[in-house]
Amino acid sequence: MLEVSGVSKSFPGVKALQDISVQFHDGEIHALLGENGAGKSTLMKIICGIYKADKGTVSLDGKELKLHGYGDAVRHHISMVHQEIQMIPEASIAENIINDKIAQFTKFGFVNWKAINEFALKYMKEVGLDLPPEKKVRFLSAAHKQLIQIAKALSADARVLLLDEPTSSLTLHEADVLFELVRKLKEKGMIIIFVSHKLEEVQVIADRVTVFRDGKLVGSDHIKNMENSRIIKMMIGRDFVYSYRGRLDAGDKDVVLEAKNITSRIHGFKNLSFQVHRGEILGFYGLVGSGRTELIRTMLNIDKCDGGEVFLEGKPVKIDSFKTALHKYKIGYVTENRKEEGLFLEHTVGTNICVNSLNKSYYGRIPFINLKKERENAGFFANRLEIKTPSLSTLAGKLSGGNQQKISIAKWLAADCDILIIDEPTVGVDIGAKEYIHELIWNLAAKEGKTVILISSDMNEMISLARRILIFKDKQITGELSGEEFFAKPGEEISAEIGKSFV
Amino acid sequence: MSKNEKLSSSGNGSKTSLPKRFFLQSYSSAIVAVIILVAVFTIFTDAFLTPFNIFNLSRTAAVYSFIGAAQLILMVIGDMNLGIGGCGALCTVVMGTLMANYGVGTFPSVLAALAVSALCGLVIGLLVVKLNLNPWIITLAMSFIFNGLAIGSSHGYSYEMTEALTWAGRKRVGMFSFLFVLMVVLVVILYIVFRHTKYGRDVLAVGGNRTAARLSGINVNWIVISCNILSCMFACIAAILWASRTGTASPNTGSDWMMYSIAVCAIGGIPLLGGSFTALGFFCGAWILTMVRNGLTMLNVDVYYEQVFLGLIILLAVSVESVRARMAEKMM
Ligand SMILES: Nc1ncnc2c1ncn2[C@@H]1O[C@H](COP(=O)(O)OP(=O)(O)OP(=O)(O)O)[C@@H](O)[C@H]1O
Ligand SMILES: [Mg+2]
Repeated sequence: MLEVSGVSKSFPGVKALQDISVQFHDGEIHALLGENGAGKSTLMKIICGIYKADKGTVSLDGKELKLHGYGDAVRHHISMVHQEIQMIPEASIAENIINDKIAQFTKFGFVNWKAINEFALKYMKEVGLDLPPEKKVRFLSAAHKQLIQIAKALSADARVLLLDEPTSSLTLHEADVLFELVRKLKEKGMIIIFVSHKLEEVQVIADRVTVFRDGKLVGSDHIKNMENSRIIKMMIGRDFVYSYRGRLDAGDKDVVLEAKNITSRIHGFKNLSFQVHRGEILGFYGLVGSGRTELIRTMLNIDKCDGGEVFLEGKPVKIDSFKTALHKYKIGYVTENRKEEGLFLEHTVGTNICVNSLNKSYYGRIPFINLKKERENAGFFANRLEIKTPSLSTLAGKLSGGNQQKISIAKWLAADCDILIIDEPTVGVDIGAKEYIHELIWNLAAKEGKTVILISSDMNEMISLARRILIFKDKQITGELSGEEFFAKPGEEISAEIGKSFV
Repeated sequence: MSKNEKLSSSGNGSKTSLPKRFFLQSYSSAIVAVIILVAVFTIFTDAFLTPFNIFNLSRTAAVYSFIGAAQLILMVIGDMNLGIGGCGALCTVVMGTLMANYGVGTFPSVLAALAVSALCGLVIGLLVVKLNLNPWIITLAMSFIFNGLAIGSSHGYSYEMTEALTWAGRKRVGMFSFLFVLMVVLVVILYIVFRHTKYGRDVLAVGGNRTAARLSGINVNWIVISCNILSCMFACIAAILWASRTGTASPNTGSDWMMYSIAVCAIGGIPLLGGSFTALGFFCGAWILTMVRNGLTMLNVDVYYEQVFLGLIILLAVSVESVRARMAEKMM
């Protein structure tokens, strides 16, 4: 049994955890839930020695653990898979799996590659990863990287496994493979602690649920006694109502953006076309790697475009770089991968929000940045998105995952884009903030007449926001769903229909 | 912390006391180091704070600040220029040949040197961007090429400088050298550019995260190329100042610049990985290096051992800064 008792932890300006006591039993899958910034990741990092608690103790099987760093935790058979993917991109899958235990594979200073690859293969099989172990990690999708991290954690012969949002970038199928595996590990008597913002999967997999709010423990109970509505109420401190957002009259308005026959050699697709109308929310639904993100990146010439045309308001335009797309055509792109592509983690929250709208902070017409104006602009959007941060001069990397996501949306709002392409906006975002971001996206289209392309693999998100959906599968657009009648149907029916056209 | 109306104000700055706020700044250790060095050298030598020495120091510091700036502008984007010495040598020779062998006027010769340096930077920048190669290797190769051209075309001989050019090296402005005025102008411009202009912010963004910068509509290639051009032009200005200070243009100019340029930045607290800049730290970095070299000579340290002390002082500077940064993190 792993026991946390009386643990508190503060960061500059934040009480991340206050007097937390929880017990994690052998052969139990224990879910930690809570809004962004509630302290879930912090508790995990304390358990595995990455952070030192200010107060309180962690003990395993009755013995107090005094860990100095993560290496110590691994020696006590405690492994953690982080929320953010942390890998060496230039190394192979196998190297990434074994890099903390390379000594096992070395004789007289020489590395035994055959043994390493065999070892890695064994754990890759266990997580259902069917790839050559020599492949470089750089070329893999986020989902694959996530599975490699899990394989790595398992390979440490773990007794306690901490999974911080392990499914946030996995497809349903991949998540199922993972759950199958987790159940097997549980049968072996392992202690499994995991964080997730997806309540459906918590209901399916967890045995016990502990809920945090603002660094305090609100409740801990067997899953049998925790219906979703109760969990949500504990998380956000009030009842939560999910509303049908109604109609979005756009279908007959002008076509704002049209892409014709977009072709990409590196991504391997040909002749993909679509249209978006003014004030519409167009959904791109599909799994990671199905071509949805790739189509957008190619259209915007972020990745090389090998053919095709783009029309804006009916006129052909040439998007030769993303800079042109943003500054000339006012197209914004909230990337799917905030850490690597969206944020400047070592820069402040304020700088991040204003990075592509600096001209709005000029002294009138003189192209010099007025710092006060810049701070006001940043503050305005930070407040509008309710970004939780001690101050605007806090480094973006110090915020919790969900709040980082809000920053990456805020900067495009600050840049006043007419067309916003939003890729997986709520991965790793808690339910309250998710609803908030949904409301925001909806209002952008419904109230401000902005055009939105929403890329997501979250079915509920699609149904709640998009009023026309393109289905992507194997780098092709395999279907289109539209019509108000369609979206007025009950959610389950729509999901079923989407599911059908998907197979 | 759930509601943050206070975000639109300046954050928590107003509550902290002045000494603490000073301590939290990344330039504070460099400033303290300057004060300590001045005190130590004044106490232990006779000639340190004399008018002549102050003039002399300010002249040398100016040259080091431009050498440092040549490296700085690339360090902030996370790159490096190993060719600044070579570029400086080449510019010196271009200027010297024009003045001494062709009788060209001072001003046109200086302009020609600047043009050559801009071209050097453009070539480096294009190679880095188009070949997508590591800037270390490209600038290393270019450094050999620049040096080769400089030595080859001058056969290793020095050139006499014109009166007009050496005037700048001798001119006094108050206690300081005229060159020092240029240094102050440089630091002020850098300060303003990185704080108040879009170009400067874009440069910092590229240093912070290149992919994110590109996906924020910043033309990363242009930033990389322009920073390389600026770097070589700063090296050229340093070469001109050096020539005006010494009165001759030697093709050996710049042989030790690469090390010193990194030292100025490192002592000034500029992170090697890029993404941030402090003007005051940079300013102090150039002064510290100058004072240490000058002070050691005055303390009669054996010149052959001088570099040992330099190395120790750099180590000390970066360790103090690292400890300070860690403590500041806890205090914030
Ligand atoms: N290294 C750090 N330095 C400063 N503050 C931090 C640090 N790590 C976390 N925090 C703060 O502590 C609080 C708890 O963060 P934590 O990452 O544990 O949240 P979380 O529950 O995992 O949220 P999410 O669901 O968004 O991942 C947040 O307010 C966060 O800003
Ligand atoms: Mg977290």
